[in-house]
Amino acid sequence: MGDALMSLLSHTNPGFIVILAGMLAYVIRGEIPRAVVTIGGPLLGLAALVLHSALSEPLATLNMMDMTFVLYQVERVSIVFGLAFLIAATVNSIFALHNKDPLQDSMALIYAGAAIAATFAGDLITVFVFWELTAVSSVFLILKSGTPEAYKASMRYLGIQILSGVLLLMGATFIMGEFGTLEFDAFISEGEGLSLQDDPGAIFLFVALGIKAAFPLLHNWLQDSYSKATHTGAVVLSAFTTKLAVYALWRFFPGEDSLIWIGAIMTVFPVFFAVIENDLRKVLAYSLNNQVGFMVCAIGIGTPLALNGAAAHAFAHIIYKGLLFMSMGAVMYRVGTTKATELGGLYRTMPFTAIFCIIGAASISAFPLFSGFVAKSLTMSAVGYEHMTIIWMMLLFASAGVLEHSGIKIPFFAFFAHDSGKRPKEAPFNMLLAMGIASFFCIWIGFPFLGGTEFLYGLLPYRDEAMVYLEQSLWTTDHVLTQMQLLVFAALAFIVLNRVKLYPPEKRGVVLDFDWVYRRPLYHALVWTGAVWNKAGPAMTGAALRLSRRVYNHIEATFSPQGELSRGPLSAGMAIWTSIVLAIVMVLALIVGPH
Amino acid sequence: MSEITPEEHTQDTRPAKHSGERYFGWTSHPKAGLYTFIFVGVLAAGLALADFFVHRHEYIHLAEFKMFYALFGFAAFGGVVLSGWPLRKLLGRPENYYEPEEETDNG
Repeated sequence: MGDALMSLLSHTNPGFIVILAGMLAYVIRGEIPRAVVTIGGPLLGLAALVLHSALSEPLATLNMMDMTFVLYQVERVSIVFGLAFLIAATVNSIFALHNKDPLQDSMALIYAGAAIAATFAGDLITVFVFWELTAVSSVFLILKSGTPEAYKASMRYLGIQILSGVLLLMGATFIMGEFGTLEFDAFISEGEGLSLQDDPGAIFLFVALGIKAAFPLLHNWLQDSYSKATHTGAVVLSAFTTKLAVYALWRFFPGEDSLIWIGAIMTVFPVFFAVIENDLRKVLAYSLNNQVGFMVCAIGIGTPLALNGAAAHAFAHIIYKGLLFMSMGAVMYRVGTTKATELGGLYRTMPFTAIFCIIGAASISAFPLFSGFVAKSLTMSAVGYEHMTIIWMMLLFASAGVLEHSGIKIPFFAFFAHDSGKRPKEAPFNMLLAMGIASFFCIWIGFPFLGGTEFLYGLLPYRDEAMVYLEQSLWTTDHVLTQMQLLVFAALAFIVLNRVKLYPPEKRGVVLDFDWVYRRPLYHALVWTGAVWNKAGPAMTGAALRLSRRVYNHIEATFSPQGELSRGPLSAGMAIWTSIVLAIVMVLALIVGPH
Repeated sequence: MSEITPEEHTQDTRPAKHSGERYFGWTSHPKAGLYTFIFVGVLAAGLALADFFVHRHEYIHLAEFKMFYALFGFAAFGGVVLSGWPLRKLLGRPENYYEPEEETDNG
């Protein structure tokens, strides 16, 4: 019995277990049984991952319609992403324990499970199915806010996510035509992906992943939806969609040159929007763009060190970004808003949330001793080793920018700054526990001698290169010194600008971004077209009907059995002559035609 | 719907001296800003000085200059923050810009 269970677990995609837990969570109404399912599901998924029986070979397949679907295949890189997803799913379930909402619990787990299942899928159709499932399930986490704005944002979100899935399917169709199969082993291997120039269909796949990764100009769904999700929903959303896209980019497009610039631009532009954004959850969404940019850039560089950097950064980021969203989720839950203009001084009654937020902020800012430092250093070094000066400068600039919006702005304006006079209760115990676990990972991974850095580096796809970097480069005096110089002087700039009143005060309002194009001019153009059609349509339809009636009448009067051409001997003669001409043409064709 | 209204959480029933002041109360001291400035200033000066004693291995030539990271961090952060003034004028709009018929509130 025990062996059979072990065998079953070792061949089961952990994502399926989490999805099943999600379905059960909707049906089970008792609070404690539902808590057992929502936390136990991801933990059982973790057990399944630990027990996986083989690397880089199909562990579960399904044959259907003359095709083989690889439902479970474990690669080294999928372990990094899958493990981070499973940890995030577990922590998120704890964070949401106070929610008495079966639908949200269920959708959060199905969404997480779909992302995990896609991470361990071995063919494009299986990825497509779970890709779309992430879109359909996650939209409920926005919808459940229950506001009109959330409804509209969720529809925009769903539209663009489904578009991503359709493009993925188009890409898959081309790849099927080119390779005759959709199994990954036939067209990609670790570190070797598709070519945008040589593989038709790759461009569709690239854009599909670009939408989910929130490439520049395709990024606004992220700020639009995450800031309007429920206080627990935003935490869940922050972990999966963009990182699933990063995983897919890692598998399909490692070393794709264009990703270097796309990633670098992604790191830089959100910094400017974040500085003037008032809604702190939107600031975190911009920050998410910025962080994913580092990963995308590293994938574009494509060296073992850079690819390790992308995977390590994703692992650390899933946890510390979740922690920051949790801290803002706790503020949202207790205060009802995350707008900087309405917050401040919350440390008085929410000190533990403040401490956890500071740990998340230190991690994302890549302060030595925190997880961001050990993860981001790989990418920065990889760029340096390739002597890409401009890209390196952009990433360094973005590193200072991260400190501005996530390292200082988030904790400072929420918990310190001016006293808003609000005295909310501390976050509930389950929220504090979840934030505590996430904080533990941030420190454990980043602090030397605790074993966390070795654990993370040991998981990385190119383990030997990671271990060499750990021994020779990570904790060197000059590396720690330069990182501290960058951050401390950036912090000094904040203090100086704040003291001389040059730091722009927080102000209520929205910040225009690229979504203005489709929410304003494009939307108004469509509304105008509709109005014009409503007015001109009936008149145009009437004129067209009258014209077609007259043409029909003429044709009928000429060619019908009662028409002009059917009267008298002419029609019979025409029929005979037509037959004669046709016969001549056929005979000529037989004589002079090709033999 | 499990969302709890903010009003249910706006009042802390504990005594006026809040627990958080034990850990962070110093931040509300009138001189806290000055002390923080001095502390960070001294730390920054120490790190800048250390640059003259620690040999750095750089792969980007530009970074070989003394105090490159310090100056870059200060300038980048300052530039980003100062850009906020014109950017807000250029891109800032009233809160109900997209949905004037509805009063927007967070969430």
